[in-house]
Amino acid sequence: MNVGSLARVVVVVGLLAVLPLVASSVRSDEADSSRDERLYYPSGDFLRQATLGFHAPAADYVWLQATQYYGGYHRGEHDLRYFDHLVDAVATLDPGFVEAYHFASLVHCIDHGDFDRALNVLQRGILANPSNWRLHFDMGFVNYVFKRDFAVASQWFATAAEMDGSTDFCRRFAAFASRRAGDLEGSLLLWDNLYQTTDSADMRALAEKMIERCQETLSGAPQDGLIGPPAPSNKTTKLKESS
Amino acid sequence: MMNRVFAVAGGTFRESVRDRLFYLVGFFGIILVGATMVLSPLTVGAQAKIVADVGLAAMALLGLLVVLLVGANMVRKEMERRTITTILTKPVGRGEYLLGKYLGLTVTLVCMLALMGVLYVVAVLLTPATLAWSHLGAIYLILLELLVLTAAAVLFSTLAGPALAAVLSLSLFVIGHLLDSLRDFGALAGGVRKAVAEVVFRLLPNLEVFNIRAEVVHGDPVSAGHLGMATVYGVAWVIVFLLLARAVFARKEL
Repeated sequence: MNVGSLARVVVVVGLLAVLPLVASSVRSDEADSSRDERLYYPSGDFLRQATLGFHAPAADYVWLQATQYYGGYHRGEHDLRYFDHLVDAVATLDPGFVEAYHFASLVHCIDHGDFDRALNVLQRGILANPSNWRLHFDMGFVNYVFKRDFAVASQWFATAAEMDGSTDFCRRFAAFASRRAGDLEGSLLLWDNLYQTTDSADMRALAEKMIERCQETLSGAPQDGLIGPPAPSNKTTKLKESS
Repeated sequence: MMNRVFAVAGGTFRESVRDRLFYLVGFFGIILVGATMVLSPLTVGAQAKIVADVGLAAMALLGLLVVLLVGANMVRKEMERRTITTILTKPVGRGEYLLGKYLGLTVTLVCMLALMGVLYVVAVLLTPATLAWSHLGAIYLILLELLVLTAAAVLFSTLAGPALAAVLSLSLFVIGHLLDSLRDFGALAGGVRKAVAEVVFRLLPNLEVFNIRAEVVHGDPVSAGHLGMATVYGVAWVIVFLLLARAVFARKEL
């Protein structure tokens, strides 16, 4: 290798070594302003036009940014101020992105303590995806776990349970919520529906147990709390008796 | 006549193989592996959707790249090399030559999308998603969109140099995806702008007709009627562009 070639190799290697340091330096200079970079994030409407038919992958990209942004909140980097803006962009770019509504509703409940905002996000999701059982279930979940409105929760769970693709889980929650709301007859019907339709032996056993407890309560038998021990008796007979 | 067209098409296809266009399929595979293995941990429950979105979008974008780089350069390159005179001195008409070039690139695109489709199916099957027939419908419509753009690129290639033809083809792609918005904007603006928007809307292909990617990824059904109408629409635009290209090329001094 002659001197000229060696010099060129040294220059290339030297530049490759220095350039990452320059990039790091520039990035650290920007670090102070990065806190507010989402302030200038384009709206979902603009992004939808600008992405020329690639709005679904664009929604994925914004979604990844939203989850990274949420991670930054847990590292104490910011106060989640622009989280709604990112979620709005995701939902506008791809209204069928169910995971975004689901995740945003949980963030509003757990991190903001703002249950109504969580319900608004879910309502938006349901408007865009009226046949999605999971969003209906999430409405029930927020009402049940966070708002403690068992009657409303029960209705949402029951609606979710009727939808295509829903699982036994929904019927089970509907029945639980109905019982907590004091609507024992409604609860009994929901548990019975679960008993009749489930494929799971465990779920059927649970449903049977809960049917017996509801019937005991309805018949005025002494209860030792909301969830007491089941009486060993035949389920079908009891259902007939109660009707 | 068709033998001569197929001979030109075969030459065009062999040329695309020699130009190593099929390396793009390997690049597509790398994108899919990246989406599956690198992005998946960050997706918070949306892994299946993101892999499918990235896969379909990458197919459309890589196909567009081929149309812009190859289609827009197709006729002009042979004119500059003077190889076109060799071909046209044989009993090959100018229309047959253009149709052959178009069919050659069509076969290339079909082969590329078929290979990418196989990789896509494997990638989607590795996620929790359920693979429906509608995914194949989405890939078919991507192909149809690319065929319309290829025909337009052939037209632009007879009119202008490679760079300008590529810019015109890209512009058609952009406007073709914004036509609905343009029409809405015209309706809001009213007056002359509304009339202009309406004319543009009717004179250019609406490429959103071929975009069902988001619906397919969310599991929405795609009707056979939609696929059929999109096919008629796409084929009609291909015929329009190729007839225009033939008319321009017939008057071209070589």
